[in-house]
Amino acid sequence: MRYGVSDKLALKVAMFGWEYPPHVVGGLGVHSAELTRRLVSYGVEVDFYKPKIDGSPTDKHIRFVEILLGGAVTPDTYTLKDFNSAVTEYNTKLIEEFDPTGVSIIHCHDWIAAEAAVELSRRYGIPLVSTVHSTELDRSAFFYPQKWIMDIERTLIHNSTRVITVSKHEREMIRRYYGRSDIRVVYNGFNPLPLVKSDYSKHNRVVFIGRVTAQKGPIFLVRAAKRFCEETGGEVVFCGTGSSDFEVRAEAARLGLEGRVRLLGYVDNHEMGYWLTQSDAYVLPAVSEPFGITVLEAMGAGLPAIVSKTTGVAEELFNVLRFDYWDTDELADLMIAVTQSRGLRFTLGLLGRVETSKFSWSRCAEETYAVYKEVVAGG
Amino acid sequence: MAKHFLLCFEAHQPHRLGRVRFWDGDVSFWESYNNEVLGRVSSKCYLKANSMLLGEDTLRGGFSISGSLLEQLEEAGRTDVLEGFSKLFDSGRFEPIGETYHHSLSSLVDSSEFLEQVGMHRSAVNRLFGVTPKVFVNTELIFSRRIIPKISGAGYRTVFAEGAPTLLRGRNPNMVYSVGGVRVLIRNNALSDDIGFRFSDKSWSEYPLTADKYASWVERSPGDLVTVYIDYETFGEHHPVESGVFEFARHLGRELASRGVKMLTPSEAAEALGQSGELEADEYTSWADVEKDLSAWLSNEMQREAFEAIYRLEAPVKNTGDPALLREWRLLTESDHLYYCSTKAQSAEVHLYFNPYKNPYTAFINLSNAIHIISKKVGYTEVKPYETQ
Repeated sequence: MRYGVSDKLALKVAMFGWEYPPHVVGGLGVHSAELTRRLVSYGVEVDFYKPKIDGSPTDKHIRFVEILLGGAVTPDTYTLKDFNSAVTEYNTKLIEEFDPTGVSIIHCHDWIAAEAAVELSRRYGIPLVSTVHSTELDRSAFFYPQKWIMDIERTLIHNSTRVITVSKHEREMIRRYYGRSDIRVVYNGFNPLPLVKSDYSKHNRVVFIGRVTAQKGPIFLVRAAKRFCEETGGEVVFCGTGSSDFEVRAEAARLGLEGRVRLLGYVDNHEMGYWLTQSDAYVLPAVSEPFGITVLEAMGAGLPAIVSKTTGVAEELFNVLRFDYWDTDELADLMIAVTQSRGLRFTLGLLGRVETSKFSWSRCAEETYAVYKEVVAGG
Repeated sequence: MAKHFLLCFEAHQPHRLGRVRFWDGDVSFWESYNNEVLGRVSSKCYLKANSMLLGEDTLRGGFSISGSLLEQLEEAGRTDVLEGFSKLFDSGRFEPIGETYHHSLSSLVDSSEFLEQVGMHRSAVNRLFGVTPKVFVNTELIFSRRIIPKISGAGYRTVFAEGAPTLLRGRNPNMVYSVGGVRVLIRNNALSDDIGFRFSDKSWSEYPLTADKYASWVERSPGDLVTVYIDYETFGEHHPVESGVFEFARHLGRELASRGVKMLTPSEAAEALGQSGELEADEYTSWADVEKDLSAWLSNEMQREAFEAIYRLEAPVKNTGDPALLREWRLLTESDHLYYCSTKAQSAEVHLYFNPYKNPYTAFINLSNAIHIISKKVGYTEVKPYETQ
């Protein structure tokens, strides 16, 4: 679908976010920017509300309302000293500083600004659209979900005119754990990493890219590495860091895999590109991953992807290897197969790269815009 | 207008691989699923179709039954199915057609394996049914001038080939040709696919297809002989019994006869009809997919890698003199394993219909792990046989 001039609506959206480039931690910040820039190009007027965090956005045509928080705000959400009070303060100030003039839709991303979004929607009678990029259950890998966050998520989900999720997997999470089933799925897009391309030569290495947290299932990769390393002499490289770093190192040590399982810590895009070209496969054993943009980045570089069945993006892909995240024998066998066979790497890598073209930020923005139109039309 | 009609069936079931792991000691086959399919196809197709063909005296034709299927029927104690085939051959109205025992691609390889598998198949047919095949069909009608010496070397003077454009180059499919001194019976793919693929397709403009209508098409076809070659599983498996496919076949003989079209057995066709010239047959053709070439088995890198690796093991396996190992290896030569690895988008629907894993990559990983296991057994572990860099 393309929306021509004749199709344009006089639409003003108040977008409630948290991160925005240059300050990006995960998929949410990228999504916010890619979506908003395109909406503006369709003629939508956007007021983007976000906390004032180091490095303000430079996008023109978007009106940023940066909320100054009193406490210490660092670029990394997850190590924020007093995260809870920052969230409370952000919501309070959002309500105070919100300008409802001409606003036809409030669009809230995830739970952080949810309390303000629900209150403002009610106060001014403005329809609320919410996009769930992940839930507390995903982020905690079901292990220690915080009830107060789930409560906020539930309030947001049940008070939204429309709820968007980034995959069917996430739609099912909302249906099962939050009790709402009329959910619209709008997939994320991705931007291929320029000049990063696998040559399908053998590296005897697989790579994990992402936050090293329980949600991403790094521990299962370490366990699979045991058999993988024994059979092939290969190695596993983790690009990223997070709360499971210690657990991953300890498990690798217990299995005698020090030196074969390497944690590189945080890597920038440049270094990530390097490891993509120096590996035989990308592995994501996520316990529950709503989408997984890095899967597409790896596949866009022509790298075979080995991805858990509980990773949202994989539900729409045929040319990937899928496994149950807990099935470490299966994972090990898949890892061995890609490192041993050039034919598999080449076929899977080539067709996978071609297949990623079905995901784009333009499609994401067009489908989101279609949701706005329905809402404004009173549907 | 065609006065002769030749109806042939291919009956084959592979030994599908289980989820073979790289580190397994032996190759494991998917026993439960293989048995399930065999049981289902036996009751829905083979038994019913056998009795239909037996009960209808007007029908004649030929059968290629792979060794893989014959031994699975024997192992499962399906004497009912085997007896049905036996009676069909005893009637003289149907005759067996020779092929490679394991429905393999051995005709493409420069080794003795092809002759051995054709010999194995001939012995099996002879032992079970007391008859010897007189005509030959290569796996999935794979054909080329290059395999003619092998076919004559195996003692066959008549062979089937797909009426592929690259083979006929504009000539009439309804004639008998020769290639290198061997008679070639040409499969009429349009009239074959009308039954094999389109019969139950409700969106097809000719749906529903009746025996009457079909016989009139045959009668109106220019040439001497219309040859139709279809999967035997067309009856009851590819098309359900409710589609009317059994009724269609039951009436076909009479409808053809009423139009003066005579049904023949393959050797009757070979003897009765003269040859209308030599075909070049420089390229490989087959009945598979739209391309009608080798691409169903050998188009992507995985397929080529696995194919080469399998036949690279032939000599080392045979040198061990170990019959159990040879048998394990031969089961890997079944062409279905490579067919399941196809990634052709155009024919994906057909490939995935047959693919028990519903995924070419799982199929390939099982196959390549199985190859690795046999490699280990013959001491090939140093050189990873499927790493072609």
